[in-house]
Amino acid sequence: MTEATFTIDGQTVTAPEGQKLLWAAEAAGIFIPHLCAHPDHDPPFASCRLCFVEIAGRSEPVTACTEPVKDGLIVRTRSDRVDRLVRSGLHLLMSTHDLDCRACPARHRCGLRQIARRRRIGLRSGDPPPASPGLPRDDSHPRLGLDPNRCVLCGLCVWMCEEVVGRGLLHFASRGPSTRVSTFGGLPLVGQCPLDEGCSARCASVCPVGALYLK
Amino acid sequence: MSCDPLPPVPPSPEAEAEIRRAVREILAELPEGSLDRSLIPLLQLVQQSLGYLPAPALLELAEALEIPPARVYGVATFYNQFRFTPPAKTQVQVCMGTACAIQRGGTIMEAWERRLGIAEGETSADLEFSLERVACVGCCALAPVSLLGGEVHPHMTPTKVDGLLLGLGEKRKSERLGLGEKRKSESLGLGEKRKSERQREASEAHATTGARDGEPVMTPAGRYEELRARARERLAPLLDPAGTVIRVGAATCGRSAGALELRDAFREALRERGLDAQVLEVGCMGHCYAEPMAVLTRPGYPPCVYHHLTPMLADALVNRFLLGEDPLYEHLLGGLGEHELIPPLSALPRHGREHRRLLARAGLVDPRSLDHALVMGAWSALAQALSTPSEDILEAVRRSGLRGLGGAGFPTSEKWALARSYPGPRLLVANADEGDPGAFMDRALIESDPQALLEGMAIAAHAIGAEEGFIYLRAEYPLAVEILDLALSQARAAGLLGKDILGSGIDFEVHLVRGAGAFVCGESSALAASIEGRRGMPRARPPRSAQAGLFGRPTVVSNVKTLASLPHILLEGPEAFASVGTASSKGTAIFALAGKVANTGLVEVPMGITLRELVHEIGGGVPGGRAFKAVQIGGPSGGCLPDAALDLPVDFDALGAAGAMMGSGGLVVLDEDNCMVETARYFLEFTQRESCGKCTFCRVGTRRMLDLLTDIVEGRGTEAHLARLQALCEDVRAGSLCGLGKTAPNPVLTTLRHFRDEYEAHIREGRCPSRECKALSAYYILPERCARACDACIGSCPVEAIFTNSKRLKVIEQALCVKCNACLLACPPQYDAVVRISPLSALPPQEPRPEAVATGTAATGTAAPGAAAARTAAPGESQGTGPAVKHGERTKPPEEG
Repeated sequence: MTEATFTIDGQTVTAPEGQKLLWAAEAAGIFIPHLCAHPDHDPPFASCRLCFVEIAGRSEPVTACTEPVKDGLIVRTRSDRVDRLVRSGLHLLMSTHDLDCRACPARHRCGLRQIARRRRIGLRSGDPPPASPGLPRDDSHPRLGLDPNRCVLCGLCVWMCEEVVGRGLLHFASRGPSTRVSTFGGLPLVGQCPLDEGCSARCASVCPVGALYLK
Repeated sequence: MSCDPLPPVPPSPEAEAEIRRAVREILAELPEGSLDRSLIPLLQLVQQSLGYLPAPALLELAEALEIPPARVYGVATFYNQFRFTPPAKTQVQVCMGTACAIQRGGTIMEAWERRLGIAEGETSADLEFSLERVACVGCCALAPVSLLGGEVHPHMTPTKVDGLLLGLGEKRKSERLGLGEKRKSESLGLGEKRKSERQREASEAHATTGARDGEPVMTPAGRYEELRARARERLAPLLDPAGTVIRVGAATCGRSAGALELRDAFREALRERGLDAQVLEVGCMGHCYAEPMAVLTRPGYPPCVYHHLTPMLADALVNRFLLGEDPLYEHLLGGLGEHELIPPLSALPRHGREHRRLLARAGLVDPRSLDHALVMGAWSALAQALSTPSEDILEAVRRSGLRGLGGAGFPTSEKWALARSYPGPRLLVANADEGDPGAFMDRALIESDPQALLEGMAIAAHAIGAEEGFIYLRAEYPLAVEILDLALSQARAAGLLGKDILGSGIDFEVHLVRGAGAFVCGESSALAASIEGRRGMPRARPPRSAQAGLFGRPTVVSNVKTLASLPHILLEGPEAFASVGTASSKGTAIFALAGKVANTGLVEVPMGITLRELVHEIGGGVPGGRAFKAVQIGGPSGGCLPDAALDLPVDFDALGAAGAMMGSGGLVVLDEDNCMVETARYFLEFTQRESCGKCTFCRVGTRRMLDLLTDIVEGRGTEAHLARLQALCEDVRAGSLCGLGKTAPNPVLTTLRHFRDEYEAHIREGRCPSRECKALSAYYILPERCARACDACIGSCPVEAIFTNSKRLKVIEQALCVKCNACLLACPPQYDAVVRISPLSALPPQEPRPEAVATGTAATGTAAPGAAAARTAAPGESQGTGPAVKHGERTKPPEEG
């Protein structure tokens, strides 16, 4: 495989040509915010819209998770336009997110908090303010919990369960603002997901927030 | 509705077994490998059979197709069409397309809610009624419309809601007495014959024309001529110059206006008088304002077009025109040809400017007859194309300058060349998911001349080397589905589609796929996902569809109009085709003119014509002496352009530069009564409902924009709202994943740019300049104009908010008024006493209602006056200080029964 050499924020980076920019940057230790991307999830879902970067010669910021690297690319991870989009996107996500962090199973590994810290975005200063959708939490399963009020609809658990584990017990349901991750018919997890600890752990491990968690 | 699906209730074991058995029967009828054995068509078939999708049915389908039940549930809940509870006996659907919404469609929904006692999306407890909103049924020229059990009722008013319910009650009563006619299937002419039956008939009709063995080898052109000659033979009576033909315009709009009753009246009149004439159901001539229409052809006259016909007039026409020599001038629109007594149709102002190319046969050809289409020249371009190398066709299309007429305007030849650069097998998709509210041109084209689309597809397939094609058609267009399905089987039987087309050795099979109700599926990657049986969520690009589209194969996705243009490029030649239009946009554009315009309808004009010509000359301007305010072009992705922008030419690039876009060609005219903030809010409500929910900016951003706009129209707006709205629009445009999200802010951005003063009036003065926003305006009866002897408004008021005061003048009790506009419509024009007032602080003081009547009234059946009053808790209204009403005032009792 041919290697591509390019720069990110002035730093020279080498990565296999065609690899997505997001992973090339991560391998080089450069932070780009993201929630819905996973190195094995290809083609990328590209739904969280947080991994914007500037590429010289492009008129608008592009998402790093979908952009293949090429020789000679000049990438900047920060600009006024990028910062504004990340801030706006994060605040939109927070506006449907339960921000009771003390009670959250994700705590410090929460992707939202990490992005907020790295980009110096106030979690509570957004417009609209953070608000819980007030949906019922599924605590029926002995190992796995599902809290739709913290879900950012990144789709990683759906992908993990269907494509990697091969069960397909979770899927997106409904549409538009009422989209959510659901079992068949919204039935409780306990009758649906196996009690096997490894299976629960794989699903929970990809959740970037505290929506799908191990107990 | 998919918005809030109920979790499936587990029925009893017996019921579950019954449901599963029914699903297995449906599956057993479908051959292995049939396209109908994929998830969405199966869900449609099961719902058609059971009325809804109970949980055991979903589980049975999941087992049969070997896909996880959660995915079946996820797909079913994505689409509007699917329901998870048993359907009501009568389904009431209220259209909320643009044309309906700007003509007070909202008050119609409220009237239904009030009368049925259920909210939007609910079913009454006794399963008698359900109430739903539909995005657009494409009957924009008849707005506002409601559907009762699938039957379209045009020009709705709150009073008409009562009338329809009354009529329904009567019908039920007579049905119980055994007098009912089986008219339901007639309502849209559906279900008269089973699909298989129709297909069998089609193949019999053309059985002799298929490829035969042992014959001398013929060129495609030769075979085509043979087909055409046979068609001429079969249609001899119709083509006889001494014969009489009556064509009734019976597309969806025509039917809603009474075309089928008209057809029957013509037949009856002909039978009574023993006259031999052909009565044909044809499609749409584009004059929606004049429906129902008919074209009468008799010897000695050119074909004569008649407008606004009734069954009685049908009888008169047969008697006086066909049997006599009186052309009934008062109902004559014009003649299609020269005649000294008949004014030509081309004398109408629109006809000098129209250039009917794609619609040339529409309204004249019988859409259910391949023979008729052949006689009128359909498929001749394909016969020519089949003996032309595909590169030459590509080159011709390149020289014609054809661009995608679905709205984005991408050069067609580039798309083809890109698809051809990837190895096959390649696929072709006709995008007929005409979801833009306010657009109905694809529907009209398919209902009027389906063979034009199929011919165009066959040409495109030959050019790109595709052996398989799909037509993705909205399920909301049942008549178009029926007509296209028939057209497909006729074309297959005649050897124009399928294996070895016209003996050329080229294969092309076309499948008809019905959409399931999701606007986003007009986006090509979402459309592909939907055909593949998944949730219609767009994916990130690249790869483009031309590289890896449907089933991962190189796919060309083109709009219906683009494909229907192809025969014309080949027949006229690319240069002649390109001679119409502007430098960068070639050919013609079809617009659906709707809203506040005199001559609603479908027009086909050369590109480059100005919006002013379209609205004021072809459309005849705003009716009723009202002032033009704006034209909404391009649907939810387009924008609102003011009078100052009307000199813009219709051209992909010029409209794009103005912040609007050509879109699919919906053109809705707004007048002084339409609030631009409310219009922007309407579109955001639509986009937000139709967002697929995948990406952050579209899912949450449009929701937040809608919240801000709702605040403004309800009087809670501040200056900060405007700044926030502008910034959010820019972010959603830059950040969204697909075209739907990226263009969703356009209606807001264009109104902010051109009508900022209206936003500011709402925010700073609490005033809606158009007096449309309910929270900021009130209805008021001018005492100096109100007539003592008249009480038309009292009878019209659905909530009995109007009373008679001590001077026998009518007064609106503001706390009860639901602002439905019924009194304003009811007030006789010679008085014209009902006005709308905004801001609320400008409302003059009014006297209170006399005690005796104020309490215990308004008990009208299912209506809930308390709820109605609570819904309109109008803030800041001034209560009257007038003299209290004294003794024995004669107050009219409520007339409602």
